[in-house]
Amino acid sequence: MKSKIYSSEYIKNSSKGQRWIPAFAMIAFLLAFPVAELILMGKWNERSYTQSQLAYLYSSLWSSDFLTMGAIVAAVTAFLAAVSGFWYLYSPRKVDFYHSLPVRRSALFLHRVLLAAIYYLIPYIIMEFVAVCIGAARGYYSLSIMKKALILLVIHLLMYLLVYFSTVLVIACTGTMLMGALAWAGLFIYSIVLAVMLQISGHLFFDTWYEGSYGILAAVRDLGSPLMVIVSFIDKYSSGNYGKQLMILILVLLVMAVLSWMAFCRRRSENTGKALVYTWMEPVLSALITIPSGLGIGLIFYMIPEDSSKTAWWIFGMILGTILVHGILEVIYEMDFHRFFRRKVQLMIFGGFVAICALTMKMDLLGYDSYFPAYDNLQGVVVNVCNLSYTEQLCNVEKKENGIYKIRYTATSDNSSGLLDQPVMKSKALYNSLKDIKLQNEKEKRSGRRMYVRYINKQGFSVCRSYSVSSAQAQNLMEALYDEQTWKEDRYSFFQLDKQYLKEVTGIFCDGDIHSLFEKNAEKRQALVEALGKDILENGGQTVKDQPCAMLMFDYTGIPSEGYMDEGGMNVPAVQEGENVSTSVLVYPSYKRTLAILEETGYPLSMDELPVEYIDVYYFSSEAAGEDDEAFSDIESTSDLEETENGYKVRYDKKEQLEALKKCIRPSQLVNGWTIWNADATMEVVLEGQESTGEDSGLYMTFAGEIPDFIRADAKAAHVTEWEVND
Amino acid sequence: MIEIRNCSKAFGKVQAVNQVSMDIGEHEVFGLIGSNGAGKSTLLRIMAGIICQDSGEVLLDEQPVFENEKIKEQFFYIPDDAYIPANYTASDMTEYYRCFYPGFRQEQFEKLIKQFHLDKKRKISTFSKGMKKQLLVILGICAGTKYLYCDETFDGLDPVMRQAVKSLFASEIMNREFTPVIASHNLRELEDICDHIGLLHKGGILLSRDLEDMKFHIHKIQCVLTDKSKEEMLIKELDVLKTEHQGSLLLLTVRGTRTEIMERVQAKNPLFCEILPLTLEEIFISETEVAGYEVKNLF
Repeated sequence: MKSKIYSSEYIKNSSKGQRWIPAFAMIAFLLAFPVAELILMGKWNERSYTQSQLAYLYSSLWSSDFLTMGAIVAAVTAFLAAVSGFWYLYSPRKVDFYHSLPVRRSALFLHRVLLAAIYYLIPYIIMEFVAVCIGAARGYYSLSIMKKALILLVIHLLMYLLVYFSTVLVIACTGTMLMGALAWAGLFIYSIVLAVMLQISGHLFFDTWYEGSYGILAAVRDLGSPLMVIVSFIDKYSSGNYGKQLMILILVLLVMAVLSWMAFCRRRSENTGKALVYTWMEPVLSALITIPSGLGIGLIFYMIPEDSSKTAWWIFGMILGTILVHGILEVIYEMDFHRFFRRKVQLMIFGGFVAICALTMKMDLLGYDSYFPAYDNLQGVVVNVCNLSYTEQLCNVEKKENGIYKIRYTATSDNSSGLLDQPVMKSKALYNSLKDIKLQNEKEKRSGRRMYVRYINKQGFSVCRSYSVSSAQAQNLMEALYDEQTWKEDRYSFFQLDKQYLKEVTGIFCDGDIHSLFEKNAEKRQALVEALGKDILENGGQTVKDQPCAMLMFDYTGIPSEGYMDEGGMNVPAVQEGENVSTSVLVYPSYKRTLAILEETGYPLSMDELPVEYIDVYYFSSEAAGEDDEAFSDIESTSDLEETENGYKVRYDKKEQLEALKKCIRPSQLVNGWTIWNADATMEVVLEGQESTGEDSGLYMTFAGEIPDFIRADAKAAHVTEWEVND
Repeated sequence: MIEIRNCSKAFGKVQAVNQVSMDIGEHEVFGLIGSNGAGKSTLLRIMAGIICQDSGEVLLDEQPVFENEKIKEQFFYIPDDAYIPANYTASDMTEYYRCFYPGFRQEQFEKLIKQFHLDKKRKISTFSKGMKKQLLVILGICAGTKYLYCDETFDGLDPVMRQAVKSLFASEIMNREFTPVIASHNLRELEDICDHIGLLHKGGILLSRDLEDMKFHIHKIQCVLTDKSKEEMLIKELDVLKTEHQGSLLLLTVRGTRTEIMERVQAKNPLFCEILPLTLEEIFISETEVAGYEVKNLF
C-alpha cells in the first residue's frame, strides 16, 4: 500500500519551512548554467573563433565547465538539504515529535530523500533547460548537446546524492552538532590529510620514496572521501575515459546510501545528545584519529630541529600528540574535561600502534628502501630520466592512420606523469644498472638529481621508486637505455612527423651561438632529420659516453593533432589544426650521417675548431675558506691570481693551457646533463680578434671533462671549496 | 488494551524503567504517577514507540508498538515539552496530522479551537505555553485515536482550562473509544479524573490499581487505645504503612478494607476510633515512603 507520506499533500505540508532550499538551488544553478553560459559566450564573441572552434568550445562547456560548476552547486545544495532534513536528530524534542508519528523510520527516511531529490531536480532541470535554450538560440542546438545535458543531469544527481547521503550518515551517527561538524569534516578530508601525511613521512624516512600517487596511496586519497571521489570523477570526465570512475562513484554512493539508511533506521532516539549515537564507534573513531594524529604531530616536531635532537623531539611529539588527541576525543565523547584520561588501556594500545608505525618507518621494517625485484619476476621497467637528460626537449608523437597525430607531453620531469605512458623495457644491462643505483642508494644518502623507476612485476602490479643518481651511474643508465630500441623509438618519436610541417631547423654548435640551418633548403632540412633519426636508432649505448658536439632544434607547425570533441554526447578525439611542436636533440660524434650534413654548414663541431685567443676563469672564493679547505690538488698554483669582487680571476692564454682547457670545456647546451661540474667558477672564452666583455654577453662555457692540474691548483689557491661532479 | 510486560529500559548505567508490568484498559483514564526520575516519561516514550525497550514487551491490541505504523495510528502522544515545526499555524498542524491520522476530525477541531478561543491562523510560536498545551490537547483529541498519551499536560493550564480539558476527556470517553493515559505529578488533578493509577518508583511499578479500589484498600485510622501492649498488637495485626503519635492519639495508615480494619481496631476496645479515606497524594506519599522515598531521608 502506498504510504501516506508520499502523498502530494504531505509533501506540500512537510516542505513548509524548507522551501528556501529549492530557492537557493534555483539561484545557484541560474548562476552556474545560464549566466555562466552567457558570460562565456560573450567572451567567445570578442575573439575571432571559427565556427568549428566555437562548436568545440560549446561542446567543452558541457563536458567540463558545467560539470565543475554544477558539481559545486549540487554539493552545497546536498549538504543544505541533508542538514535541513535530518538536523532534527540533534534535538530530543524534535526526535520525540517525529518518531512518535505513525510512520516507519525507513519510510520517513525515504520521504526525506524524495523531498531532497525534488528540491534539487526541479531547479536543476529548469536551469539546464534554459541553458540548452540559450545555446539553441545561438545556433548550438543538437541532439548530442541534449544527450550531454541528460548525462550531466544524471552525473550531477549522483554527486548530489553522494554528498547528501554522506552528510545524512554523519548526522545519523552523531548526537551533537559539535561532533557532527567534526565528523563531517573528517569524512570529507580524512583521506586527503592521511595521504599528505603519508607523503611527508615517505619523504622524511625513505630514501627511495616516490612522490607520485599510485597503488594504495592513490586509493586512500581518491576513494577515502566522497569529496575526492567526486574530484577524481571530474578529472577523468573531460577525457572521455571515465567508466571506471563512474563505477566507483556509483559504488561509493550505494555504500553511503545503505549505511545512512541503516544508521538512521537503527538509531536509538534516546542517544540524541551523546557525541556518538553508536557507542561502538568511539574506539574505532579514536583509533582512526589518534594514531595518525600522534604520528602527524610527531612529524611536525621531527621537522622543526635541524640537529641530531630531532629524533628525541619526534618521540616527544608522538607521545604528546597521542595523549592530547586521545584525551580531546574522550572529552568530546563525554562532554566532560575530567574524562581526559578515560580509557587508559586504550590509550596505551594506541600508543603502541603509533610506536610500531614509527619504528616501521624509521627502521624501514617493511623494506621499502631495500625493495628490488628479482630479474625473473620482472615483467619490465619504466624509467623517467628527464632530470638526467634535461638538455633535450622532446615529446611523444603517434601517427594515426588518417594522417592525424597524437601528441603527448608525458616524458617530463614531473615524476607522477612521467612513468605512465613510457615504454616498458627489460634487459640485463638496464637491470644491472638499476641494481647498481639501488645498491649505491642503500650505501649512502645523497641529494641532487633523482630518477624515477616503475617496476612492473610479472603479477602485473607496479612498484615505483625514486633514486638519487651519480654522474657515473647516470651515464651507465643512459648507455643501457640507448641500447633499448623501443625506448629510443618512443623518445624520438617526433621523427614520424611529416616533412611538410617542419618549418625551421636551428643548431647550437661549439661557438655557443644559435644558427638557423638550411633556411632555403627544405630538402636538406628533411635529410638532416632523417639522418639524425637513423643515427640515433643505429647507434647504441656507447654513443653517450662522448660529449655532444651540437644540438639541433626542430620546429614543426600546423600539425593536425587529436583534441577532444563531443560526438553523440561522448568526448571523442577530434582534429585540432595548427598544433606546434618544438624539439631539441643532442648530436654525438658517432652520428656520422648527421655530422656529414652539418659539416656543410661550416659551424664548429668540436672545440678544436674554435680559434680561442684566451680564456678568463673566474674563481669564486668562499668567505670561510682557509687552511681547512678540502684539498683537491697537490700541485701549487703558478698562475697570477687577480683579485676580483667575488674572488679571483686568472687569464689563460698559453697554447698548452688553451689546448688542455678546450678538452674539458664547452657551451652549457652541449653537455650531457649528468656530467656537469658543480664548480664555484665560470669562464669567458675570447676568440681571436675579439675583446673580453666581462659581461653576460660574452661567450661563457662550462667545465665538462677531466680538469687539468693547473686549473685545480689555481682553484685551490683561490679558495674554491665546491669543485666536484654534480652528484 | 495496552499490555506492558516486564518492560525494562536503561540509559547507560541508569535503570530508567525496571521490569514494569501493567495493563491499561479501555474506556478509562489512566494516571501514571511517580517520584521524580521514576521513569514515567520514559515509559510513556516507550509506549509511544519513540524508544524501544531493552527487554520485555509493550503491546497495543496485542501487537508490538515500536516501528508499527498501523498500531501507532491508534494513539497520539503529547510530550511535556512539545516541538512544533517553525512557522506552523494551528491550521498547518491539522493539515500535517491529517496525513498521519486517518481518523482526524476536522469539524471537531474547528469547533474546539473556537471554544478554546485560539486563533488557528496565528503562528504557534507566538502562543503562550498554556495555549500551546491547549492546542496540543485539541489536536490529540481530534486525531481520533483510541489512546491519548499526555506527559504533564495539565502543567501550564489555568484552572478553567484544566476543567475544560477534563470535561473534554469525559465527553470523549462517553462518545467513543477513548483512553487517555496521563503522566503527572499533579495528583490533585489526577484524583479528579483518573479511574486507574499506576505508581512508579525508581523505574519499578509499586502498584497499578483502580483509584476507587486503591482508596477502598488503604485507610487512615485515628484511635486512642488504653494499653501500650494493645497498640503493639494492633500494629502487628494490621498491614501498617505508616505510624504516628500525637500525644495519646495513634495515627495509622493501613492497607485493608474499612470493615476489616474496623473489626481489628474495635477488638482492642479503643477509647476513640475514627477511620478516614486517604487522598491520592497521601496514598502516593505512604506507598513511596514504604519504598524508602521520604523527605526525611533526603536530608
